Amino acid sequence: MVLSRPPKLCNFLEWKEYKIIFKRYASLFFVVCVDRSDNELIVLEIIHHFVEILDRYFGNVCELDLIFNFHKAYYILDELIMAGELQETSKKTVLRIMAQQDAQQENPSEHKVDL
Amino acid sequence: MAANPNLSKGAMRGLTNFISDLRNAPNKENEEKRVTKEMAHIRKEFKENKNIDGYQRRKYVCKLIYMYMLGYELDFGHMEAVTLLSSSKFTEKQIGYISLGILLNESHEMLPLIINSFKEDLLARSDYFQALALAAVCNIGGKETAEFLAPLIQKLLIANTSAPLVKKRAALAILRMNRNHPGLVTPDSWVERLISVLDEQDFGVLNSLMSLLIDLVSEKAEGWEPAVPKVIHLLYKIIIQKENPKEYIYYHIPCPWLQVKLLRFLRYFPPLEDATGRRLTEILNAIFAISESAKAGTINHKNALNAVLFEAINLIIHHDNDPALLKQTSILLGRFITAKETNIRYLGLEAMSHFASLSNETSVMIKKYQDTVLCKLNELNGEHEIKRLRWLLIDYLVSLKDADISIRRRALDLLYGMCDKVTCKTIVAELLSYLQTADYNIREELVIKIANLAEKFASNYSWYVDVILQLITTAGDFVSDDIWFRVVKIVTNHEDIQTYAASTVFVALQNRNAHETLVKVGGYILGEFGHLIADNPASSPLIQFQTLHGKFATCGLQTKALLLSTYAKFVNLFPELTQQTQEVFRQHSSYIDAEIQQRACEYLNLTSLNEDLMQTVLDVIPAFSENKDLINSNSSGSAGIGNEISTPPSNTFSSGNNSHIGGNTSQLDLLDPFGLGVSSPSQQQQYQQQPPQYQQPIAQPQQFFSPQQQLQPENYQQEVGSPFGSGQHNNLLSPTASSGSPNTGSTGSPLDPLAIKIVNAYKRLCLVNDGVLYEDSIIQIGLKSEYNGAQGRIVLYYGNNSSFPLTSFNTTFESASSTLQLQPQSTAPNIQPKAQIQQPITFSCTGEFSESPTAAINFLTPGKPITIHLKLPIVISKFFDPLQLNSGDYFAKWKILPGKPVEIQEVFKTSKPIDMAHFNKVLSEGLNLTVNKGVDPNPNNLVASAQFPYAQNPMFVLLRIESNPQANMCRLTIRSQSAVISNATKQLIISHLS
Repeated sequence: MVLSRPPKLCNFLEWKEYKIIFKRYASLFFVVCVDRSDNELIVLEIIHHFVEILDRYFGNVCELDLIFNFHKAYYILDELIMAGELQETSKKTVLRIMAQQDAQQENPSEHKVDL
Repeated sequence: MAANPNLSKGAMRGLTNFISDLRNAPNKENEEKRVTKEMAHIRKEFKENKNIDGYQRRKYVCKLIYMYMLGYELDFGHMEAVTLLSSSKFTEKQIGYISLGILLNESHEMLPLIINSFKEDLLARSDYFQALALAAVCNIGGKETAEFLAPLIQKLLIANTSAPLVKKRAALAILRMNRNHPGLVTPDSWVERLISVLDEQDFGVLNSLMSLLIDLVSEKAEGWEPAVPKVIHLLYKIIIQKENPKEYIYYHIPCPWLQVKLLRFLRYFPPLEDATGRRLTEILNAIFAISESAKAGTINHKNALNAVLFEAINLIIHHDNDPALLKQTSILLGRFITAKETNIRYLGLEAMSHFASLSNETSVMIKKYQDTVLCKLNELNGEHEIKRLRWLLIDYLVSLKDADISIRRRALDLLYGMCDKVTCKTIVAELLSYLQTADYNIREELVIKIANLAEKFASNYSWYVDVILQLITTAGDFVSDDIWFRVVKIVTNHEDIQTYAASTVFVALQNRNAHETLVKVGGYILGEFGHLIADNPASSPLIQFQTLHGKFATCGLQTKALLLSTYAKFVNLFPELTQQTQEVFRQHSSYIDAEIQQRACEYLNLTSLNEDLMQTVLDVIPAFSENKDLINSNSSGSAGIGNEISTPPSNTFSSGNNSHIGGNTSQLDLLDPFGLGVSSPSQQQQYQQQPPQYQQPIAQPQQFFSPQQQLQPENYQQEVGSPFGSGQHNNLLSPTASSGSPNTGSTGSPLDPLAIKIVNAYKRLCLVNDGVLYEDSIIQIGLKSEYNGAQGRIVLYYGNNSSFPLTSFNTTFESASSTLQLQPQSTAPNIQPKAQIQQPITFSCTGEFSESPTAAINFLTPGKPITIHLKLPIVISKFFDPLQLNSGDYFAKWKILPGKPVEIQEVFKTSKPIDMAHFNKVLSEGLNLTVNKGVDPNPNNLVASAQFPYAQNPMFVLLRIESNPQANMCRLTIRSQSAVISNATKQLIISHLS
């Protein structure tokens, strides 16, 4: 449904009793399903916000980054959206938390058990 | 990638390799092979490697999640994830939580097992541990989690020691639990404390808290009023004072998300009139000003800006109290809907239709409140709006043709919402022309909207008829039955458009590809009103018939049945068509579909038997009772119409109709005993289900069919039927009341209200042919009867009034007299709730009888078996032929007939003043006796006579009533050849007259 829409149309779709709001970044679609009463534009900006943070974190994010580091993408999403609501709107705060979490990681070089 | 410091940390080579392996797989098969191999390996490792370390476990679990995300089933590994979860190392815990968040949902059976881990982490010193646990609660928290952890999480939210990271997650966790299990945060104990959290400085916490508050006030706004000034103050701080942390500025807009939430929160409260309210106005004005000044910018800047702006607009529209702001809003919206950005156009249309519905309300308010000030204000506003709206109409229509279906839907909604008497014709015309090219997925909606608008705002009905016909022509497949029922109803009820409707429909039918719905409308309208255009040679009866019949072959069964009715009506209107139509009936008299076959046979007989009868049955349908708007009455109203027009003479009642039988008035019951609609054709057809061997015309068709005439016996019946309790009645009462009645279990005390009801129903039905025989909260038994010579036929209708099915339903009938034998048909064994079954019983009378047959009705309710004993109102007088005698003949016969002991004389007392006219009516209309005038000159006496032709020799019944009005006493004398007849007649007369 989303894929079939030509690029110039609006980013909102009515689907069952929900609205689908989507945005395309290169070959990636970010799709969000919200209540009909939600503010559409702000949801659209949540998507953008998420993408910007991914971009900062991964440094010029691309599809492969998300695939190989899917767990990281999940961490970021957890920082950003929770229980269906945006929880943090400051990029800096999110990135700071991510950095702090990463700092707790152990040094991976000790483990070289490959498959 | 290695250059990125963020990625080098915590990277797992094995995982990366595995993912690239899968990505490099040339086809699905290879991928599956790789996955199977990996699964086997991991399973083995988990099982056998006792020394598996945290890193390896983490890596394996990640691999499992990845496979799960690709769509492969996972039947193991959950326990490993739980092990990670309870690790004390953050990295392991993190993966554990992430995997559970992906693998489990809130109803997963594993969840209760790990609640304790959640709790430990919530109590942990580390913010990050707490945050992880809260995230898990937010994502997969179920009922147990809510019950077990809620107090803990609430404490985290309001504790001063909690880090912002924890607080904001705690707020959202509560939100989640509250959504799934409302009532967790009770306003009384928590309102104040939650409101105090609004003083928090951290915008992240405020943001999450506002989400929670919006959810809570959307359930119940009372009690939260103290939060309103705080929220307005926050907005003031952000927008006017521009006091906000730099890191929360998003494309030059200070925290748009928080702004949106704050504005939305205010929507749940009425506008304030005090200083705070004025401050809000200032804020809203500022939002407008900001959006005016900032034209250029990136798309993200604009989106964020407009998100706030639309939220402000919605708040203004919602408050609807500030004319200046409303005016500004309408100007802005006008601009939005012509904007280039599709998103803005979409939102503009949406807000506008919200706005349009509002100005309708305002106009209603004008009528309601004559407050002059208010009135003036609104008028100005309203006029302004109308002008604007009309000016913008063109824009909407452009939007309607937008390439984007989302936009088209909004535009349609808006047009629908803003339609009024002035704009209606233009809008409907535009919509109709749009319908021709419209997408299939919007057509149905469009058709309903057009039909509604056309009816709602029609200034003349011919326009309405045109619109509907055009609808059928352009989008017939999308025109539901409701819509064409409605047009038929309106035409029937408005005489002035009947001719127009008939000719228009006729013209429309000329199209070779006329839609089947059009054929239905045409069939009905021409059948009813075809005669109005029959004088025109171009639409002569024959041509009308041929036009319709040309479509017959290709129509569905329902339409065919309807057309047969039309033809029958034609026979009545245009006798010259008799031959052609009867030919059609004959062709279909053995049609494979039972309904059509039945109609064909009935109409064939009806049109060839008796003209009076035919005229009555096929008379013009009287106006329907006016009800409800199409859209509101979709279920009940149209079901009613459906029964009347299109359904076969069905034996099941729609529940909607049934409900008014429950009403008490017996008069209504009689008029419309089965709720089929008083004079619908189907009811009359049902009436006519006489066996074909009946060759004699029915004696008094008028009395059979005219509801007005049926009413008369009922009227006096209510008067004479009420007194009760004289000695005579015990006789009558005993067979019925001696049985246990289902509700009361009474044993037949004459004062039992149900027994009285039974007796009264029986008595009434002795005089008339149709009505309700019995009714209680479980079952209703209705009765229709027909008598033709010595033959009789009654149909009993058993309707289930209860909410449970009646099972093992069976009936037995007994006639005490050998001259009256009943042949009941068997019934269905069960009656579903609100459903009804019928049982026809035929019988013939071969001689005199005095006792009415009885019926025993047995069935099982969920609680107990129930038996109802009833007397059937088959009495000797039903078989009487009225006999007109002059004075000489009367006395001659009187002398021939034997005197005592066959003669019967009885003195009875009436409880009401004697009214000879009443007596007259009971005898002549109820009991089929002829009251002979001029035989007895005394006005207080009357003589009556009848013939009972069905014994071996025809018998005569002669009677005389002498009354003494002063004493309310009467003396009845009856002579006949048979004591049985005399006795039966005496009982009937006394029970009805005393």
